[in-house]
Amino acid sequence: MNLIETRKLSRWYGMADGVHGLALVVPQGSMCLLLGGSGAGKSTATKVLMNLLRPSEGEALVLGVDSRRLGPGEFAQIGYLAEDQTPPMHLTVREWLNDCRPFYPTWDGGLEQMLLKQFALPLDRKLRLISRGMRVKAALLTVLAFRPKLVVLDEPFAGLEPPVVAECVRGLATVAAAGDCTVLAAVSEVGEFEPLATRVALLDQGRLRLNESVEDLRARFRQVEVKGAEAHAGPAADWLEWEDTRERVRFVEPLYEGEVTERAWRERFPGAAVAAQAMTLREIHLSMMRAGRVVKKAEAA
Amino acid sequence: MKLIGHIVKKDFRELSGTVAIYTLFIAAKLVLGALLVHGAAADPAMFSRIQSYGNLCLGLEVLTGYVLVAAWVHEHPLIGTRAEWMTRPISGGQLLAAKLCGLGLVMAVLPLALALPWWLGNGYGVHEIERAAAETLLRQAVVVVPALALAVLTDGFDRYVIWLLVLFGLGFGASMLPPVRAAMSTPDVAVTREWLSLAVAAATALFVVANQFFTRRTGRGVALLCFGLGGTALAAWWWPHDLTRFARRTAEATWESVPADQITLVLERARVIRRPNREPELRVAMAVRGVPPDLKLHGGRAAQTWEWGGVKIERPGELHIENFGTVAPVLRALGLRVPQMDPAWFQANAERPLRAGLLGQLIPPEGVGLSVQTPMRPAYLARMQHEPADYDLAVSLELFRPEVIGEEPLRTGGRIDRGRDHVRIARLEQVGSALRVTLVESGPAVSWKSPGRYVGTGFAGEGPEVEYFLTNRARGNASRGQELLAQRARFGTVAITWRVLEFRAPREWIGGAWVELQGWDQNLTLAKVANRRVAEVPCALQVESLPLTEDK
Repeated sequence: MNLIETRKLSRWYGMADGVHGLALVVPQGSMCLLLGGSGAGKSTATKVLMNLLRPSEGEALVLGVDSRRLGPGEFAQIGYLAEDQTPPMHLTVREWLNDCRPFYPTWDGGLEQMLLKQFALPLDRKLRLISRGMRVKAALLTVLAFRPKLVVLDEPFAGLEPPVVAECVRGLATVAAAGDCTVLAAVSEVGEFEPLATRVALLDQGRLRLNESVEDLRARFRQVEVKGAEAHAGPAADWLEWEDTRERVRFVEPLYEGEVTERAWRERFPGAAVAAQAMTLREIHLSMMRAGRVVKKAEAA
Repeated sequence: MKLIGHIVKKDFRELSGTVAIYTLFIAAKLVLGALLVHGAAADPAMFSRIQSYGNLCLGLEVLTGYVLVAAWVHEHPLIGTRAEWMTRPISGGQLLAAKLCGLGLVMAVLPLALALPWWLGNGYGVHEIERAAAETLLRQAVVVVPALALAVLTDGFDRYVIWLLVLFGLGFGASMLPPVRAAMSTPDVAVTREWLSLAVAAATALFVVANQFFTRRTGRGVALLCFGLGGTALAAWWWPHDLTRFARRTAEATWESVPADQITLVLERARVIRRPNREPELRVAMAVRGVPPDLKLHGGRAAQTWEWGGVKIERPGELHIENFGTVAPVLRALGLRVPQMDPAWFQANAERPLRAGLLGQLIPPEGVGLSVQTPMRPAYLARMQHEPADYDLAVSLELFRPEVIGEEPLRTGGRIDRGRDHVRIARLEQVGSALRVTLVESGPAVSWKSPGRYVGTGFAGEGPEVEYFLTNRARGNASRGQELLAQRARFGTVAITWRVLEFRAPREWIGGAWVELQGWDQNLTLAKVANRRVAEVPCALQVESLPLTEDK
């Protein structure tokens, strides 16, 4: 079952496209990263999903409900946290938690205490008097403490110190691990989400370029280094980041298929030593960003 | 329900400071009113000063009201995508209900709760409290409704203030335009247009608010607002039908039955009055017969025409009632002797003011004297004198029943208290042979008067609503007070008036001259009389060839 599913979803602002023809799928229990640079349409997409913006065309189903019809019943199961949200600055952390608690029948006091301890939040200080990192942690707590079925994050940790981000992601992981929680995180880089992510969607200029499981992605991307290749036929069309020095050739293979692909390499680089290394999600993302293009499995096929 | 209560409590907690300031201004206004009623003002200047402080409090109360409504809505902004509440499990309907509950408590229940002791302290009964509460709520709505409509369409206080100023500026500017002023003062439909435009504006505001809470589609909200404002302007300018006649019928249904068919107009004489440097006037004197002796007449507007063959002149005129019609019923109500058919006695005892120009006129041998005085061009008068014209007069006579509200021996500090109606005699002065009496009155000041029901300062409708008399029952005479000063203040639907009245010595016609009565100011009683409007009777007078005489 997909907790999020969009069909030809578009949202434009006057003449400018926010997102265009988006067909995003987030299966239940997955941790999906919606990757994209600045202006890629991540925020527009998440805002449409949360009914903060109305789609100009197409539709988005969230928890099986049209995003335009999301009501209290659905929001009681959704935790949403965005970078540009305005928390109630005049409240203390305790007051904010007290305000949020009655809205959620599933609020877990034990989890709240655990996260409070984990985040080391100062309960009696007003939000305007604590650091941004603390505020984000407090906001994350209000989003996680009711054990949401779906968590939607929109660049919530942008600009925060890496240890703070790590702490937040750890909190998120705790909740995700404990229950049946699906996460969609719109971020510009993989960062601390690397170990949690199970699925990746890549947005570029409002268009979805990729929507694949991390497992598949990792399986088909390889960092390849070739030594002693004196004569070769140049790069194949799909390879990314081709780099040819006299001593060695380096490139990223986006369509690695085991023995078949390795045989193709040997034929292209006869007598050379070819070493292939699995890549991290971050490396794959950066590689595609640097290359300025995305190679999909289906496209190659 | 629990969730709505939770939001209401949260809003109250966040805005407790502003609510406290708002409460303070309302309370301060009422305390100042109480000070005035209980004699804090020693003279009109101090009365005026306390009144200004009261007005200042009222102004600040209204201003705080506008701030409070906006702040209440902006606690959960409906514009933009940044508000944290938008992705919490709250529906638009729940939020609207919570906001209406909160605003209802602050803007309706709180002012009523604060005013209730003030009203009870002023002797208000259930009827007055109902009316005062309705008026208070209507006034609060004037603040809440536009403020709410703009607050839901703005995302911050600065924008709200700007748009509020723009809205008021537009409203004020439009109301100052000559065509609008003309449209709003068009006879018959003016009141309908005023109420209808208010109703359209209120309905617009409600639609805008509902749209924002339920759909948060601001573009549509703004379009609705513009459309509604257009409708409001159209209602104020163009509405052609008079809907108030239905209300008038209801009012007429409450009137007493009077023998209307027995009330007739009889011409006494018509004369020309010429004064230096003024247009000559034509005064038509009549007698009204058949008016029940316990009812008094009040003048109104008359429609007159003079016609010669095919030439017609139309002129409106103001009706003047002779003393007999205005004082004899009051004397009867006060239980004083009313001599029959003795004009000199009436003029001496009833103290009709000389400056009204009615003394010395012919008092009709029977009935009540009534006259219509009309400025007229000399050329027309010359023709009327040369060739008497056919004269038609149509009037609507208003009949009032005088009722004694209370009597109190005349002394400083004396009080007349009847229910919600209070009069305190603040000062007595002898000025020559006259007595000058300063009164501090308080009573309900609702402008929504029930037809025919007494509401403190007067009955519904125009007319001489309240009068004061000094009576000497031993001698059987009465002197009507002439108002020298009336300074009025309003504090939470209670009107407080500083009134200075002058009572002159009654005179008697002795040996061919008016002689002031000696010792008239002993053992006097101050009586307050209110006049209840009981009927309106249409009357007509038609005279073929109206003869004119010259005033000597």
